[in-house]
Amino acid sequence: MIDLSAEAVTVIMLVGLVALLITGFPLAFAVGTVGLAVGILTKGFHTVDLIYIQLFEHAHGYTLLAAPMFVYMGYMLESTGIAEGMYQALYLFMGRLRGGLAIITVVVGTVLAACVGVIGASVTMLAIVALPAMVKRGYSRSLAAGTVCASGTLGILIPPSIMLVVYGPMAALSVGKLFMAAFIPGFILAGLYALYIAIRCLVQPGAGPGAPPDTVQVSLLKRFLVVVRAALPPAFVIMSVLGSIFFGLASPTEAAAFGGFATTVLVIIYRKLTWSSLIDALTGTMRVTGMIFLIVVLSVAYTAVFLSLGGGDVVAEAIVGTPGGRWGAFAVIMFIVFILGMFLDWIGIVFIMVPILAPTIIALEFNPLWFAMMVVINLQTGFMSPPFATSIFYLRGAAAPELGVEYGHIIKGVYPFITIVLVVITLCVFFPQIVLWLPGQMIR
Amino acid sequence: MAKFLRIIDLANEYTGKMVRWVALGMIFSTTYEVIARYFFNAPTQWAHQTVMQLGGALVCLSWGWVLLHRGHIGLDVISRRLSPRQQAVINVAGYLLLFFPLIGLLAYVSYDWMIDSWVMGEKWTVSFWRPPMGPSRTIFVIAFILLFFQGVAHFIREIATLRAPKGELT
Repeated sequence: MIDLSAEAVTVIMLVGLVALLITGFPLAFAVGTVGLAVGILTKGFHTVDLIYIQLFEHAHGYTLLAAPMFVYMGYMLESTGIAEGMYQALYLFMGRLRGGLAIITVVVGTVLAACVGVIGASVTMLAIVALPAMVKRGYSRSLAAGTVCASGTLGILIPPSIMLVVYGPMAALSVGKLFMAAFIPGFILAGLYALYIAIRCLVQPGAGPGAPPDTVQVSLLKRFLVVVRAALPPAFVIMSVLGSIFFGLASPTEAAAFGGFATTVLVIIYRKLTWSSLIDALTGTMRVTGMIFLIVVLSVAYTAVFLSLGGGDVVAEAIVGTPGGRWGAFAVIMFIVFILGMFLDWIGIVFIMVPILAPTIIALEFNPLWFAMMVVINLQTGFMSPPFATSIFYLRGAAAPELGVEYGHIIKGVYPFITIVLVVITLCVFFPQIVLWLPGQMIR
Repeated sequence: MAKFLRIIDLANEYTGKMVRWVALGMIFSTTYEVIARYFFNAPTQWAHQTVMQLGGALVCLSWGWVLLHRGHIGLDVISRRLSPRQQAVINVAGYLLLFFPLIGLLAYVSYDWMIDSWVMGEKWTVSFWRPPMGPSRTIFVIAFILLFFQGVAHFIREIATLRAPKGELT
């Protein structure tokens, strides 16, 4: 066994992980191997047993297991076409407005992506459903692409989001409180996105023309009924899931199960339940679950070794020691989160970074709930920032080539949305009540 | 050799085809509990524990299937710019250094825990309903073995890519 100082461990484990990640080999195996190897070298072979215990516990973690059921809910809404139905219905309702389609994209993306919760899945879905609709009706390609990136990314923040379901257990925070904390900032973001689109299309009518009247020639009452039929029931299911958590009626896991159940019933009522859509939803659920949980359990191997060897305190000292005091340290952490977000999906960031930073947050005496929100809102910017941003990558992969959406369009399109996120972060720094008020109102 | 690879692929494919239904099991058992508690005032003893065991099975038995479909994510900023041959070199090294030792050791250790669990009659202690832990420990072993062999199969494929004469790569 080798005796390593805490500083040496910190450097070896952080640099080693980054070096292995660059190879592109699946993240889970890289992170697990670094943890296991350093653990065995410093503490002996019984580290493997300790890691096994952690693996087993997390794979059977009650709260974490809400994630697969939320994913099922999201996939079910998508694979049965209910999501597209919502989009069409809202289009009938708002399509004549300038920029209406883009605003609908924000709404639908926000609601649906919330359940599936992996950026790849949500951006891909919007790129297939919403992007062609906008481009074909003459929207500016950059506005359309930016809207898809921003709404797909926003979905991972708006509750019930998978990211928050797994963030909670990792940071020892209540998932219910995280949901409530994300609610107001999430909707401020969505609202500002819609406002930006509306203003931009007002000033520059060519960017998002309204549909010509003859294509949307349906009476107001009929339009209203279509929306009530296609959009209200799914929205009601999602709101009841959140409500049951807010009022303390159900744990997030129970709420997720009930949401999955209610969605299935809804699909049957709509007569959209087919064998292949059910199989698609179940297969998608399994794919996301297996991928996320392998990273969860193997990151635990890494962070457990890292923290037990004192790495967390070394990181805390380094960050707390930055000039500028508490807020200087805050800025440093936000910068690190931003950089990580440019390269990685949230899954790796939340599981590796959150536990590593836990001692730092305590040392800085920030409210952990508020801080968690700052991290997840900030991740939005990283996921959209060129040149490597995850959401841009998925958009390019999923956009049909004949739409002519190029890299340049996307980059031009995302900047306004990034600016909006930065404004909201600043707002939350100066008015922490935006984040903390709603969780404080929760029953229990 | 081709037959060996096919058997591994099929094992994971069929495991996936069965395991994906577990998600529905989790949803229905938990919904049953919620309804029983609020509408019939008769909470169950088994639901909380059942969803954990089902979830644990869904979580870990899907790993091999996800690897079969290459669904475990990595940082592909650099690797997607490389040629297939260069990617194969990285993957061969990756399987040798990052995959086989890690998953092999975990499979070995989880086997020990499984044997102990059955021998000692280990039980879950989360609720008063105390089902044996052995089944879940066994599922973990199966999951690691399935994952390990899927890794072996992909590893052999990467080697084949490396040995293919230049120009035959697509």
